[in-house]
Amino acid sequence: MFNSLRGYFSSDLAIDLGTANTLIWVRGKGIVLNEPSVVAVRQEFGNRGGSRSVLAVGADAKKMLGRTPGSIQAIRPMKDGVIADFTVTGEMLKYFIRKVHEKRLFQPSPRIVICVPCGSTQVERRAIRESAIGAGAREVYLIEEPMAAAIGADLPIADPTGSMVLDIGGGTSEVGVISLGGLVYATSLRIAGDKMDEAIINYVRRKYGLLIGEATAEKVKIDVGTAWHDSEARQMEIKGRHIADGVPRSMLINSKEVLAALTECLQGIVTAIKTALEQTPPELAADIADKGLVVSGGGALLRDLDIMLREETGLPIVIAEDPLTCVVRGCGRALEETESLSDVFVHE
Amino acid sequence: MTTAHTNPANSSPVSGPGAQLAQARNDLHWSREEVAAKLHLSSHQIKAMEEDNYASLPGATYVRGYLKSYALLLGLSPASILDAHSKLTAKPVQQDFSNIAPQREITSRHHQIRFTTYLVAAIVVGLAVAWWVGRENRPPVPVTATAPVAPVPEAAAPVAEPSTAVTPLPEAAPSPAASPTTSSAPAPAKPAVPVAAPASPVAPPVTAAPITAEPKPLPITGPRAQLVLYADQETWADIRDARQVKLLYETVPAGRAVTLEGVAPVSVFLGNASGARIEYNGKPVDIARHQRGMMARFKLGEEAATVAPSP
Repeated sequence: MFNSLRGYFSSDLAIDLGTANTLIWVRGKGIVLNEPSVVAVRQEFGNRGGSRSVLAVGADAKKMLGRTPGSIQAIRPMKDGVIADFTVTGEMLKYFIRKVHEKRLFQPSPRIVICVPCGSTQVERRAIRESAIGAGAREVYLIEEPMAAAIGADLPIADPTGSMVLDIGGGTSEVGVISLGGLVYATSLRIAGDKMDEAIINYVRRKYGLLIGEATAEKVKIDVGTAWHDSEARQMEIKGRHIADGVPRSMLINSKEVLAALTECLQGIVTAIKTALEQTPPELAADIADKGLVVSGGGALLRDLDIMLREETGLPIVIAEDPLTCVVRGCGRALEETESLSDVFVHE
Repeated sequence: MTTAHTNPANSSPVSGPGAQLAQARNDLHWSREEVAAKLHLSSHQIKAMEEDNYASLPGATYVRGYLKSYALLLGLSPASILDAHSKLTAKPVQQDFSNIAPQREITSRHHQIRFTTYLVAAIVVGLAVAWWVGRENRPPVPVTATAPVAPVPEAAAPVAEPSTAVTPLPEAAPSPAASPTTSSAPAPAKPAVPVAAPASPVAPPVTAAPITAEPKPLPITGPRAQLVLYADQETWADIRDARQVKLLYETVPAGRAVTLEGVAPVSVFLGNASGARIEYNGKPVDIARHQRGMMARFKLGEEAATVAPSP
C-alpha cells in the first residue's frame, strides 16, 4: 500500500539498460536521459578492508575511463547486454532514477520497463529485475530487445505479416522476426559496438604495434569507420603507446583499414541475418524479402552499413529513424500500452 | 554508390518527393528496373514512390527508409526528400496494437467473481447460522413445570397441598410422585402448571404447553419417578429417564425449580453440582456424594427399578 502511495508521486520509466549507454524515457516527457553506462567507484581503505563509494555516474564517469588512479575504478557494469556487476548496476540505476525524479519530495517508486537481450538467461533476467527493484522500482516489466526495437521503429508487429529487425547495440546484436505480436525467431549474438572497438584496438596493435584505448577506438569507428568497401575514403590521426618503444606515438588510420578491422564482426552479423532467414517460415520470409530489414541501435550509424547489408543479404535495408533511441522508445510505448501489449513482456 | 551527383531537385520547382526522385533518376539515365536492382526493391515499388502513391507500400517506417535509400543512391539530400514526404503526407499515425491485446478471460481473481463468491458464501453461512439458532431455540425437553424459587428461607411458606403437576401414567404403578409434595424446599410461588401429559404408547400426548420433545412411545419398563431440581446457581442439567428421554437438557438459570417426571431409573448430569439441589420422589438427594469437581453424574431410582414389576 505504501509502495502504491509512493508510486503516485513517481513517473513510470522505460529504460534501455545498454552496455554502452543507458537511456530513460519518462511517460509524458519522452527521452530524458541518455548517458554512458559507466560508474566510477572510489575504493576507500580503512581498518575493516575499506568500502566502496560511487564517485561519478554516466558521462562524468566515462571521462575517467582509462584515466583513473589506483583508488578509483571506472566500471562498465553491463557486459554483453547483461549485468556484470550487480551492485554497481543497482547503484547506477538508483542514480539515474533519482536524476529523472529530481524535484520529487518522496523517494520515487516507479513502474519500470527494461529491455533485455533475447538470448539472456533466466538468471541474467532475474538479475536485471532484482537490480531495478533494488533501485526502488515498484513493478518491473522485461521486454526483449528485438521486440522493443520493432515497436520503437513503429513496425506493424500486430499484423499477420513478417517484420525483421536487427538491433546492433553496444554489447549484443539482436535479430528478430516478428509477426502477430510475437517473436517468430530471435537470436542474439555478442558481436556489437564493443566488439568492433576491440577489433580496431587489436588491428592497430597488430599492424602498427600501437596500443590505443577503448575511447580512441570508438572515435575511430564513428569518424572513419565504414562497412562498405566503396565508401568515401576518410582518415584520422590516432595517438597511443607504442609497444616496442613504450612512448606515445601518433599515426594516421584510414577507412579501408578500419573496414579490414571490422570485417570479421560484420561477417558475424551477416551470418546471423542469413541464419535467421533460413529459420524463418517461407511466408514470413517472403514478406521480409518484400519489405526489407529494419536496422536500429547505435551500430546502424556505422557508415554505409545499409549498403553492405543490402548487398550481402539481398534484402532492402531500412535504417530506422533515430536508431539510437529506437529501443527505449519501444519500451516507452510498451509502458504506455501495457494492456494491449501485455503479451510482449517477458515472464521468467 | 554514394558518389555525389549534381542535385537537379534543388533547381526543380516540383514539390513532391516522387517527382524529385523521378527527375533525378531521368537525369542519370537510369531505368526504374536498374534502380530497383540496386536497392533490392521491386520496380513497382520504385514506381509507387515516384508517383507518391504510398498506399501500395508497407508502413511509414519502410516508406521513409526506401525514400532515404533512393535519395542517397541518386545523390540527393535525404533530409529534403523526407521533408517533402512529411509535407505531402499527414502526420503518420502510430501502428495500432490493440488487435493483439489478449482477451482477458474472467478468472477466479476477477472482482466480480470474488464478490459473487463472497456473497454466496455469506448467504450459505447465514442460512446455516439461522438453522442452527432455530434448532437451539426449540424447547428440547418436556418440562412439566417451571417455577421461580423465591429467595426466601426454606420455612417461609411451606406447601402442603398436593402437586397438581403430577399426572400419573395410566400404565405405571402408583408411584410416590403422586403423593403430595411435602418437601421442605420452598416453592411459594410454584404455579404447579399441569403440563405433562401421560406418556401413553397408544396415544401421544397432546398438550398446550410448549413441549416439543415428547417422549417416544416406548414401553415403560420402570416405575414412575418424580424429580425436582432447585437451581441455587445457574447450572447445566442433563436428566434422562430409563427410556433415554431427555427430561431436561438445558442450562437452568439460578432461582428456578424444575419438576420432572419420567420412568425410573433417572440419570442425572449436573454441570454445577454445588449450585443445585435435587429431590427425588420427595426425598432430597445427596449430590455431594457423586460430585467430581464441579460436575456430578449419577443415577436415581435404580433400586426401585430393579424391584419394580415389569408391565
